[in-house]
Amino acid sequence: MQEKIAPLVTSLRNCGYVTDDELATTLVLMEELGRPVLIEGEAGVGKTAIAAALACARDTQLIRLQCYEGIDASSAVYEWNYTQQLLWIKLCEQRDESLQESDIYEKRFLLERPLLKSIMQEKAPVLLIDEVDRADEAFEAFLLEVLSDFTVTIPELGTIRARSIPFVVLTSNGTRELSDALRRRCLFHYVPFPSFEKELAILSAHLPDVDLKLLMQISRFVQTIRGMDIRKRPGVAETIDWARALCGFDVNILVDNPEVVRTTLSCLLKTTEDQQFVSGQDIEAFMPKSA
Amino acid sequence: MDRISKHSCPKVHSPTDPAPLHRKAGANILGFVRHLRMAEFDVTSEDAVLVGRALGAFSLPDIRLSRNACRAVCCRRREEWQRFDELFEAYWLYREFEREDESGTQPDDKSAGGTGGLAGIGTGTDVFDTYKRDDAGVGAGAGRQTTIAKADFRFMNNRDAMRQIERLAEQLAARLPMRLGRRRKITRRTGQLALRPTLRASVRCGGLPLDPRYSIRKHELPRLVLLHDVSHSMTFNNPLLFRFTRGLVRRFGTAEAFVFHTRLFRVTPMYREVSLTRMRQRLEENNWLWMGGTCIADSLAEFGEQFASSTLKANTILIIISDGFDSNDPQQLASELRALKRRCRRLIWLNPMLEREGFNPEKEAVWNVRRHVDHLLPAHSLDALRRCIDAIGG
Repeated sequence: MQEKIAPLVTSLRNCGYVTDDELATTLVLMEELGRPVLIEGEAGVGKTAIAAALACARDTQLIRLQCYEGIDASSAVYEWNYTQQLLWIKLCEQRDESLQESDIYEKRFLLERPLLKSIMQEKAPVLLIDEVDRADEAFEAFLLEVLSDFTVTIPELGTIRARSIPFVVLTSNGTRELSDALRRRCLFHYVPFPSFEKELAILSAHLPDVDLKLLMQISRFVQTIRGMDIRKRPGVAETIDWARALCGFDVNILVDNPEVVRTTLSCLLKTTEDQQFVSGQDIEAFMPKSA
Repeated sequence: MDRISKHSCPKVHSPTDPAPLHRKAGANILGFVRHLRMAEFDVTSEDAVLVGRALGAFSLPDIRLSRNACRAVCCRRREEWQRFDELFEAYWLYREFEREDESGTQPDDKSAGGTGGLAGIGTGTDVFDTYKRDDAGVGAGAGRQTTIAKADFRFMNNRDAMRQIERLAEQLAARLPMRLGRRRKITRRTGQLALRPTLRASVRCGGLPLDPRYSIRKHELPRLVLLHDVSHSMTFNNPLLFRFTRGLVRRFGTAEAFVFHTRLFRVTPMYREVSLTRMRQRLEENNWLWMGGTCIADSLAEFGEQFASSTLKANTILIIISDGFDSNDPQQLASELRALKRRCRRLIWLNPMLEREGFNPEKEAVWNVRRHVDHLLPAHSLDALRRCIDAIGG
């Protein structure tokens, strides 16, 4: 297993996801042990991107199930295409063809939703169950059942067994405490805000054409902002947006362009309170004088 | 299903078939799992099997990768994730120390035994066993404090013991001003009779000493500046030392606290938080603070450039808390210490590695700089901290 970690780090990096061997170890374990991985962290630190990068690294399909309040099994597993079934019945009536019940419950009328789709693939896909904490507890219990044996029972068709076991990545922002049962079935990884060096590497990977000195200034400035007592600290996604905005204004040195920095802070700070708080500070003092 | 049979089956070791896992390794893992459970981790038997599988999957065991693998399996939530490294090192590093002792004892046998305790900690569990017995009501009272006072912070993994010793450390810190101050102030209340002020006050009474004056010791708050090493090597010392430094900062309104590893950060506002939870939250939010390498000399230089002029006065006591493992040149460290010593009243170095078995200060850089500090003191236990308090107060 050890020899798989470094290549995975490289593959993820080639797919635009800068990471270290901590995450790579968890992902390799997920593959080896056949367990889902639960990823937690603040919004914007790249939890969802892990699944996309893993799919890219493994050259497989990414299937995403976005959870929300009220999501149910029919949205997650399968639905019958009632419109097509009705049309088919009408067509058969017009043709005077006899129709069995089994005829209208054929696979061609089955709408595969993410969970079913993921176990129907020949090559194991990456199944991303995003923001699982937004779903209801009942749905969480249903997920437990599916993730434990990777089979889906459709009364009209029977039990469908997995052709391949997907690499399951669950993400959570911590809006609701997940059940112990779900946590127990998963490997766990926590994604913190990146360090200066890591954030610089991420920026360099996403914005290869931008001067490294500017990226260093941006990264250092964002690290300072994160250290402030603000409500919503900027994630990596916000940092990248802000870096792009600064490039759009042809900024090379932050301290020489305090007004541009001030006006583009909305890319980093997403609440009025935070914007007012940071604007009230002497932000020029936070700007690195040099890279 | 194909994938599982292809990759996982050869490495699957069912709980009923322990053969693939070496017995000693299995005992170590079980000890580690018990160790985590003592720290209130919800680790199941199935997790123990998974840990065995994960570690067995490494052809060349690497402590870093092993830690990452165990963490992925054993942690369930963020708080556990953040505490895990500390617990992992406390368990496995201590085992290394025991091996170095060459005492001939086999800690594995003890950890694998059924007595439990803080399993895997081996002989070191005596402290906790005593503590647990005290908790159960046997010999409660003075006995517990004596035990905790001498216990090494490194083995304080039991949460209750940790809380207890943290509180004691804070109480110690709060006692500090009682030992400070040599100046005296004049008062009309009882104290030592002050002859000159009494004579002066007697003038208006025709020379009769009707209004005697006394002098009492003035408890001046010292100006403390704390520089706390939070590098990786200090990990298992820090939970207690944080509470200790926080106690000092909260007790002294003028105190300033900084932490450093390869860079220096000011943490005074965080330590002044009333809520301990809030303080921890703010510290944890700034993940740039922890677990880096160590550049003590560079950090001291940064302090000298940016903060020394505003924080160091003639009456300042500068306290450095570090194990002294430095990636900078020892000469640079000596030079920075010399420069800082000139700017403060006293320079005190608290080293949690001193007086620990296996630590040879002769070979360490910190020994070379002993001559540049006023006191070089151990800080590995509550007794040691008490001696530090005496030194700071003196």
